[in-house]
Amino acid sequence: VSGTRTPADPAESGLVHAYAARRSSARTGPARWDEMVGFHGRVRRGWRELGAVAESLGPRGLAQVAADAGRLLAEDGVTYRPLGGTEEQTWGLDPLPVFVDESEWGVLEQALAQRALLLDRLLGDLYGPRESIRSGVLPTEIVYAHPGFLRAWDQIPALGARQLFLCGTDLARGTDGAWCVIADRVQAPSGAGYAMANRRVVSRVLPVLHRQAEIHRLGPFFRAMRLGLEQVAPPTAEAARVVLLTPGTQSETAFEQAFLSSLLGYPLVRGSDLVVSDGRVWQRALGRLEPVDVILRRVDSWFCDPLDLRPESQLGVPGLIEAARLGTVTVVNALGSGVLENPGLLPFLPALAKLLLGEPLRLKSVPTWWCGDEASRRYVLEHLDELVVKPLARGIGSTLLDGSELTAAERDDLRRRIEAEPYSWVGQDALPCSTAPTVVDGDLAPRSLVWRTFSVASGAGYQVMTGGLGEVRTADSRLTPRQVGPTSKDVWIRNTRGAPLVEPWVREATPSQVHPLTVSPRVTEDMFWLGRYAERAEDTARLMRAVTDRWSDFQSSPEPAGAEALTVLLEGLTVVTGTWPGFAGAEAGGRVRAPQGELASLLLDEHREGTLAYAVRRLTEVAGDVREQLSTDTWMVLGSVERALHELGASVYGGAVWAGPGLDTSTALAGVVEGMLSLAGLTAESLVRDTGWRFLDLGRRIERAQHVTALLAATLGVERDPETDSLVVESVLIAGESIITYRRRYQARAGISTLLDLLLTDRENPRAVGYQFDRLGESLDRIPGDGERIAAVRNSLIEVRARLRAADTTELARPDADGVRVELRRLLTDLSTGLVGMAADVEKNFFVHAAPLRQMVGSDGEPW
Amino acid sequence: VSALPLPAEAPVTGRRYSLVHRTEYTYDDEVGTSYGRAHLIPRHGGGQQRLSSQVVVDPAPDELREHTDFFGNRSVYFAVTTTHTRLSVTADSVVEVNRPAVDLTALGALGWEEVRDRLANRADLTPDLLEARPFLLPSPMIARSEEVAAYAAGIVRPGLSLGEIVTGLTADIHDEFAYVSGSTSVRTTLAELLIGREGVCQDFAHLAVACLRSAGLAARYVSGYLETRPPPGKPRLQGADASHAWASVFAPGVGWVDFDPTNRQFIDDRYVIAALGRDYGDVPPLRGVIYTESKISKMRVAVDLVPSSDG
Repeated sequence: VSGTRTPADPAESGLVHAYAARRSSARTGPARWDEMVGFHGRVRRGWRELGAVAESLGPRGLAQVAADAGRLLAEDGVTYRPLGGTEEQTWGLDPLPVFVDESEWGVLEQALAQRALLLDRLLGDLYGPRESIRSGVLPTEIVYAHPGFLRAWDQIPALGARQLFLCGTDLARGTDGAWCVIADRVQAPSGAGYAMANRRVVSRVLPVLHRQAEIHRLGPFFRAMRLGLEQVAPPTAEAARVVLLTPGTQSETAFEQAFLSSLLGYPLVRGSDLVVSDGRVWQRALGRLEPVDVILRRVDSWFCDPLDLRPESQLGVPGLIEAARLGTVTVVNALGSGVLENPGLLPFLPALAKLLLGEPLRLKSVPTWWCGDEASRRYVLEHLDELVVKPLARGIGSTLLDGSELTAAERDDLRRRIEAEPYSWVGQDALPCSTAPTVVDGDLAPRSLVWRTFSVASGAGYQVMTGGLGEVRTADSRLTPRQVGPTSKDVWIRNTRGAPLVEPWVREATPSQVHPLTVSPRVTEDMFWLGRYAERAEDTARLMRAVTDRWSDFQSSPEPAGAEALTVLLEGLTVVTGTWPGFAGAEAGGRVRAPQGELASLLLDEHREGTLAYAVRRLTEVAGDVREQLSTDTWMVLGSVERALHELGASVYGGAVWAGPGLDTSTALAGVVEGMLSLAGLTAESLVRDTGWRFLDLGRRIERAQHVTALLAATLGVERDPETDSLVVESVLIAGESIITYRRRYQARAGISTLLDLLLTDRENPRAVGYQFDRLGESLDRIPGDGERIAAVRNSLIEVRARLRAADTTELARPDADGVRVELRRLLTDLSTGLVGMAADVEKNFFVHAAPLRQMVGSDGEPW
Repeated sequence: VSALPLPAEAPVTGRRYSLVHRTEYTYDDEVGTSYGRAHLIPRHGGGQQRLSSQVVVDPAPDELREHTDFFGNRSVYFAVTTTHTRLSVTADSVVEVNRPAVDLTALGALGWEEVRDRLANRADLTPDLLEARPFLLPSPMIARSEEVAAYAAGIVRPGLSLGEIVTGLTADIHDEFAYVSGSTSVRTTLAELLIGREGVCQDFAHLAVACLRSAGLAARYVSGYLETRPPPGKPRLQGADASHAWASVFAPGVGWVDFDPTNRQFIDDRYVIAALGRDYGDVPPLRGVIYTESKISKMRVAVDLVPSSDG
């Protein structure tokens, strides 16, 4: 990596030169701007360091940097879900940033702030006096025919100074070299969080360039966002309680929503976590309701209130609009703001700027013709083969159509649709936007660039993010719908004037301003299950490792005691994991003799409850549901665990079926155990002991106690010959992660009673049941809220604890005349019953599920 | 205008009504919370005076509030958080109706094409035109439809007056469609209605509105009540009335003219307007969402529009 501050023009040789040459030779039609290389083939001033870095990296280095970026994104769990897709994908990022010159930025920044202000005023006007329509500046249909114009939102005023809080503006650079707006994103704009995630990754894969290029930071934008959110709160709120409303983990940008929640420090809530009561919005907490003042929403407006908008929506909060009308809650962006995502507005913005701001519009929009106007319609119909045609509103089934790509018949059909409802359509210039160098297979390739900028209402005006989200498209020249997932780019804005690189963000809040983060019951439930599944995955992996090791030993030296011990352990595995029939019961003989298939299933079948893969899958799903609660390192850990299982799966099912002792499960099992240890470390050392963590710990402790109890019951209920018991005891201790302590502590007194001392009654061994009971007691003491609900759980705990303390391990280890350890069995049954009851009490008392939301309907099922 | 299909008797004028609209839901399981929105309070103005009105919700609601909505209707919000298996909403109003007679001469003098062209002329910023223009557009339940356009073309013929258009539309819908209770649902499209030729008052109102809009005229949907009279010699039955719906068309210089295709007449003082909007979806008398495991519910509606003793 080059450390040179003033590199020579790198276009002299190599990659960059080739890029420049290709750019100029490929030119057909109107000359397209390239961000890096000027028309004379020279690298632009602001790009020279990047050019030098690209040169010095060479093809292999560039490919490596791109791969590193991809790996970091995967490790941090930076994902998105393509529209209509079921699987989350790793976010795409090209490591080479786009540079923006500071003098150009100075002009653009003001123009973007002006545009945000104009849209803000327009929003206030459209849901207020509608002067823009009354005066004849804006035709009625552009507003009234747009589905984003919410009549239910009429006359609901903003509580702060601004109607529009966050504004996304998509820019492209035309052939004249000027940036122009191709779309306004104001419904619930996404991308600001991805911009920050991109910056974090690019600064790690190109550290020297990042350190040396003098650029603006992104942090101030998010601090402005926090300040702005507090400013828009209802005046009655002493200190704003802000929540981020998400549609849930199925959202396209679920990652970003969780990321923003962590970055801004506001709880991520779903519609079902909120409730309207006493004329205001509340967040459900454990056993109580916490007031909510500001909702930063990522749910599209139509889904936000099933009472007044779409009745079938399960993502909203009934009564939300009513609360907004009462002025007790601020929703940003305002629910009515969708009407501004409207290409029909573009031709009227210059006139609206004069009307509403009294100044000329500074930032051009892509040339747009609204077909409701007769002359414009004629123009569009005459130029259908070269324009892009769009409906007023984005909606399912309505996409934009590139006239140049339509057949004659399709064009005729489009013409008919336009003529039937002209006001619903616009034609736009197919802007050949600029290109930016993008890493493709270790080479630099020119890709069309769209730049999403962000403005946030903060302080007296709008603060524009000094950066943004670049998107490079493989589509060659025109603004057509993307065929593949986007590749993003970081945008670096030069800052050579020495503005502070670090802005102070530490400021003392007066105690009344600080609200503890409210945790929704849904989140506590997910944390509880996160603890359970993490523990279940670890316990299952350890047990399987102990059992498969025993099986391998037996394969190499088949002795009778080994066979007997193996039978006990395999049956124990089935019983502990609850995967009957498996190795248990009368029919199990064949599977015990040749256990490969069943063992492979127990490892890998992610749809069979009780298997390791099932626990890992549920763990990953639950973690995804509460990702804002977790450290980003979690994704690296879970990713490695899934990979370990996946690789084993490929070798088991991909090639020869389980080939006996030669086939190695130990790598995969070690991978899972290692991952679960890392996860346990993360939860122990990187999570605050808040209510969510307490439930995670409750889940983990109950699960571990249940596992040990079940394992002991399955393996030690009867006395066997000393040889067999030795092997069984050893495996149980290995599975219970206590073999080393046991050997050290009980060298002279090896036996069942000392094993029970260590795994059952011990209060210092983190793997013992007694220890789990102590931790459960601690967590229960620290869960806030009313005592009654905790009391039920605590009473169960007190019972099992007393039962365990009264036990004498010497007595427990003693078999009766038939070789059955009756006392031990009885105790373990009682403990197991107590633990199951405790878990049920936790679920019943804390995780109250609201009944489903339905519509009030007539007896025939229709509200007719 | 010569062939108005008005009923034989003279229009009724100057009435005071007591209006009770009661809706009761019963559920097969407990409902934890009900949130409701009602358009049950009659409009004030436009030929009727609301002297009093009251909405009672049982069980007692935690919240009961009203505001004037986008269309100028009174809109009631309520929330019931007491667990219930039965919910009733009763609106009780006293309304005095005294409508000016429809200016048939003016309607007869207005060519419908002239009205269409004035509405289409965006440069004309006369306030009543501005107010009417949004009602030119299709709406969620009245989508643009070629079938409707074809049907309308037979009625909205060149050279006719607006009065003739309304008259023809009222007569044709009344004569060509059968009133069959339960024959349609909210999901029935106008194209399906045109094939089936049977429906209820909401369908006929929607069809009339759709025909007018397809001709470039501004039309809106009106929900309300019509006084019914028992057959001669029979006593009036309690709760025998129902909510009703009709259509309204914009006539420049005249205003909005309400007409009832179901009963083939202009509205008069036997009609009480509850609320108006683009279509039924803007003004259902009662809608809501509930938190419940209940899957079966029954709804019972009883309406009484009774001339008040002191009216």
